[in-house]
Amino acid sequence: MRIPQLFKPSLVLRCRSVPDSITATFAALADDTRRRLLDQLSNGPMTATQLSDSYDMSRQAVVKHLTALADGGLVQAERSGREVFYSVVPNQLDSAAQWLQRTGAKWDKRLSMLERKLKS
Amino acid sequence: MAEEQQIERELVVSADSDAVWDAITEAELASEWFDGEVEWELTPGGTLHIEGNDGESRDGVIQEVTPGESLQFVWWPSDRENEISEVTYRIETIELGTRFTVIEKPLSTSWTDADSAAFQTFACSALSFSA
Repeated sequence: MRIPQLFKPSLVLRCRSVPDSITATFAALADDTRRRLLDQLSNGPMTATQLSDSYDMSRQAVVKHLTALADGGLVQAERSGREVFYSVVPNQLDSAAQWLQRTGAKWDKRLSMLERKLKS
Repeated sequence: MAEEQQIERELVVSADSDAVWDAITEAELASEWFDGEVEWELTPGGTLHIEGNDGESRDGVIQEVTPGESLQFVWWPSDRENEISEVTYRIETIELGTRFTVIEKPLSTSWTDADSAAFQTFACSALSFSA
């Protein structure tokens, strides 16, 4: 079994303070074109080629902006066959709520099983 | 914010604390209620592996063991190693029998940094106003 890299204390700590990623998020948003691309992607995933067609920009320029948005944690890339689709990273706070809901439900189930075992 | 991002559950049973400790720590007994096959080496640094009945398996590492009182481990879904959370078991003898408390809190996921998420939201709205 492999212990994940993130379990190293120094990395967990860095993960929690994240000054670098905040700077990257700011940098990613401090550009009108990137904000437009982000707005467009909020309607659904698109490839760099599709985006370059709709915005009359070179594909290369679009990829550069998408990379900056990805560095800022705002978009993610996912490969599908020969194409790469970019999409907006789902709201982080929503993910937190989902985790709490899912994890809580699992413990409820386990503890009710445990209660039954201890009674018998 | 961090305090709210954790799960806390407790179970009060009439069984004595030794029986509860055995039920939660002995792999064979734990497997009976955990909804999965529990394998672990109950010593700090020992590894754990749980093959969930729902098909999800988890790996982890035992952090602290105080026999009869508490157990702490970190674990993560085997296929998502960046979703690490910490689980603490606590056992107390009370008038009614035994109280078993479980706390699970995320240590490192893509979203645990609530400040960063809030900042991103703030940064987004601030920049869209100035645009």
